[in-house]
Amino acid sequence: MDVRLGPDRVVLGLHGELDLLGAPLLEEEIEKVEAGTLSIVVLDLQDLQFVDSAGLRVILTAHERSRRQGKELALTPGSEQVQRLFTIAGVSEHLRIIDSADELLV
Amino acid sequence: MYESLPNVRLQLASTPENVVLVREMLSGLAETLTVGESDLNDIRTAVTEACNNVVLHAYEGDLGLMEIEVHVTSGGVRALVRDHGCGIQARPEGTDPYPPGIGLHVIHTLAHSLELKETVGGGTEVCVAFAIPGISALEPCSDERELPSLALARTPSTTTLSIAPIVLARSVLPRLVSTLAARAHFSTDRISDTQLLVDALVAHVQGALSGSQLKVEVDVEPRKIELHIAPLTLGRAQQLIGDSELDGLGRVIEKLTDRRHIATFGAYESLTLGLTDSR
Repeated sequence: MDVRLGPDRVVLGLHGELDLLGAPLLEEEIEKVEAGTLSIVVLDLQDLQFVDSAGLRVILTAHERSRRQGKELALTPGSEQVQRLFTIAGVSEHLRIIDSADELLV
Repeated sequence: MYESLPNVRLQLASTPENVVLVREMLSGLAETLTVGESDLNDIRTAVTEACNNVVLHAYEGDLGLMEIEVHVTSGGVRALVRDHGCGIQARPEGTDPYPPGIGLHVIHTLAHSLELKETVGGGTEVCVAFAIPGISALEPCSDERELPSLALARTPSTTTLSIAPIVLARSVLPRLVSTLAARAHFSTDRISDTQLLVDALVAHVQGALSGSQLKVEVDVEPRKIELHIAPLTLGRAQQLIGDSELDGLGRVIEKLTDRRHIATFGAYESLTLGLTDSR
């Protein structure tokens, strides 16, 4: 995972697999970022090859937290497997999917 | 439940790290069977969810045995995930806050069929089948011997692979052992040595096997791996080492290992290969 600061956002770039093993690390990183002042967090999933329900839970929990705090959590599309899991779980329409990590958010 | 023995059986501790190993095994299988990416994704996802259930719920916070079996049938693949834990129970409110039961829902959506049952003696089996047109059934494992544990003691860091026919081992075993070597904090060079060793092993082991099934137990400690290979026909373990000779490199199995030991178990032998990374 890499972390990049933009003028109005923090971008967390995920690589490889987000699973039961890695989910707690992402959760920890998101919580660190949320403690900062920037109100937009982007999860860049373009290099994410695999996600399971444990990884999805972290993403959804972070999404719910950001909504309650009046902040924004957006995601870029992941691999076919990632998008398929989002669809099966019925969460695709609830998440903000953007084409690129630097896309202007209105 | 099923008459034939599985083509692959993986026995390992119920840890999140080991679910990664299960996916490596499935990727290796798919390589030999030429399963398409989309089908492989579905199988990896569904089996991961079943394994996650074992890790999270079967042993109530403790470690236990997780078993994965794969049968390659005509037109599909059948995977079974088994534990010997607390059985199928309703989970207390609040343990799956978001969204509850999603793992089983994912499995049910991706698999052609899903069957759950409680096993005799305690535990759960989750059996999922996937229809994959064009796949041919593999020669079933005909070796019904239950081989005893080869390592001195089975520990939470022991991974056991039983596989037949041998052609499957060529893509599965290198992936598993490389992943375990990385887990043992081997350097990149030593991981490469491990891959070369396993490649040499699977290239020559068929002629040494007693029966159709290869069983490999892998024990991992920091900077140390031991492979226990069986069942070998009496006298063939030493021949297997000799067969690994390559022009200019000598006997690969000897060159790349730090320890070799042959043990006899009645009608067959086992070969133990130890590697360390002593940088």
